[in-house]
Amino acid sequence: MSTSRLALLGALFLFSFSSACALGRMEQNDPLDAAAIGALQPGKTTAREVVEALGAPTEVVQLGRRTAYRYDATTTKGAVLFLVVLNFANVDGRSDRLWVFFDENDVLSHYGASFGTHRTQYAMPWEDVHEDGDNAARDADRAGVGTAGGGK
Amino acid sequence: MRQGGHRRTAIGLVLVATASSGCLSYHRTRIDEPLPDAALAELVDGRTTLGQCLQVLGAPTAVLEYRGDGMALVWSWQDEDQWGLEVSLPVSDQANVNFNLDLGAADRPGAVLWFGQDLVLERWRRGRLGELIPRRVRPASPEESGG
Repeated sequence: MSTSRLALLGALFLFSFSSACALGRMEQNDPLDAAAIGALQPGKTTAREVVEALGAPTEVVQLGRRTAYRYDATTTKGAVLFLVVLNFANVDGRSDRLWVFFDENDVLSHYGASFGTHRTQYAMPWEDVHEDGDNAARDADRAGVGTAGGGK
Repeated sequence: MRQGGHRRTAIGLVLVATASSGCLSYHRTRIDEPLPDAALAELVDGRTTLGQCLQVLGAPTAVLEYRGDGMALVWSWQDEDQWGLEVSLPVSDQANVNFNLDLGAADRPGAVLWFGQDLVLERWRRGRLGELIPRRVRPASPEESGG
């Protein structure tokens, strides 16, 4: 067997034992519009105006005479490290979520919003993905986020 | 002869081990972020309003009906990890014999806030959702309920 063929076989043998990694990302719905949510005014905004601004809700809940609408979006990032016989995988999923509450006259009484889709990270299982510094840095790149809410 | 038999068995085992693939895996899933303890500590039963809760905690994961015009707000998150062992042994060109061994499983942690008709906090609890929220039962059809 020639030296070059031996080298090729050796390289293939080493390659078969080398590590690999994979990244995946999944998104459900568009991230919520923080500016549109900031314009909501408890005691004034109607259900019709909310739907005109934000579109159809994901869920509607009847709460006696009141109603609540849910809007949401989710981003999930997955990372896998293959080490042949030992594999590591991590999934980090976060959501933008908005709940709007209406009184019996379909006028907004309360709302609560959380924004998390931009905080999702590719990471390994042993890494902390909820560090305050990481969250703050990502929040700085997206205007108007954090948690928001209130009532009349 | 006996030595040759051992050698054939050893070679056979090596061939099977080479043909099969097995791996140990560590998998962690984190969905949403836990509510900060400091924010929950600000809640006062009988005083904190729905608006104040939403301002501090943001949007809940779910909203449930509670005593007519009241409501229960549910926050949940997930941080689960598990080790797994996967072995796959080819028994033919089209089929594999494989099994998974999962060593971890847990209920989702969360917090529930209950509000009465006046939308003032009645109480809140933190723990496993299965213990906080009664299991929801599918409404029975008239035939099933005998009505």
